[in-house]
Amino acid sequence: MDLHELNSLYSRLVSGDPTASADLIECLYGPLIGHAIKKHGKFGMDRDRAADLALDVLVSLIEHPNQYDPSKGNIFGYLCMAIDGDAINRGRDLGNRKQIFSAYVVEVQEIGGNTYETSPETRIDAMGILDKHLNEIVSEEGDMEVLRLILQEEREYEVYAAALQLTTRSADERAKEVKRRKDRIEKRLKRLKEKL
Amino acid sequence: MNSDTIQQNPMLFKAAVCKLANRQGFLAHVFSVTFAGDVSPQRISRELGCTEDIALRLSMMRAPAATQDKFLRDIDMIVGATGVERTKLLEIVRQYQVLEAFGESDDAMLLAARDRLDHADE
Repeated sequence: MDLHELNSLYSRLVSGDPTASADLIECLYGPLIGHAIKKHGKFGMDRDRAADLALDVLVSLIEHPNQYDPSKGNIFGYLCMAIDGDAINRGRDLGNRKQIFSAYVVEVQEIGGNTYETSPETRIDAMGILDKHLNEIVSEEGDMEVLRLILQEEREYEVYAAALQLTTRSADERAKEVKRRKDRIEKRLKRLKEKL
Repeated sequence: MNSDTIQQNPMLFKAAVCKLANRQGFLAHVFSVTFAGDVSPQRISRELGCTEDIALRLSMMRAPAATQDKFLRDIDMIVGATGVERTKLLEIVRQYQVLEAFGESDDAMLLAARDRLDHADE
């Protein structure tokens, strides 16, 4: 299905056509599951959880179609961002700090400029360091998600915006807030590195 | 965008229908209540006289609106898109509405039981 057909499907949804939901799910359920697994599989996202998330965002759109603003991008992109935001929030709720720590192990190596193989002792040290100093990096809601995205080398600001649940703000406001939060976390990481 | 159709991957959508069975507002929920939790495509296709693919598609549609002006319009749109028999669909939806109404009121169930006992005493 191309974008034009997706837009037409969305119009049917907004007009209250009861059959539109079936077409939307048939068209997007599989691809959204694929996106969730591809993007978040390395952080423990399995097929069942991906299917739950994909259906949640579809049902949310079906029940509240006016939440999506067509002027801000296509439906598939919007739903992918919603999945990314939910996945990160659920990861936080399920306590995947361990995964963030694992990602940080790589960061520590790169910050240090070392290229040697990480020994298990160094890994444990890095986790210990982050565990000990996490409160110097995260201070408000959303900081953990921003930290995780930075360590994943996420470049799309809309993914940060979704994680911070800024989707109701204008594009400019989203970009500004994302930059502010990212800059703050990166400054703290740099300060921590200098301190160590 | 490559997506499997219902025909190509019925298992994927069967799983989706099972999840939708718990969501009010979808026909999957209507079928779940009316058929005592059985939302298998086999059951739905048997009840409505349609194929299993149509049964899955039907389950993912929205339940007809509660308001009188939209209810029949929705029924007609659903019938138009799936080819299921109008009277059968109406019957199932009406049954669902009654079951939901009883489900909301414990008193209604008790009243019905008492009526039967009164008749038995006479």
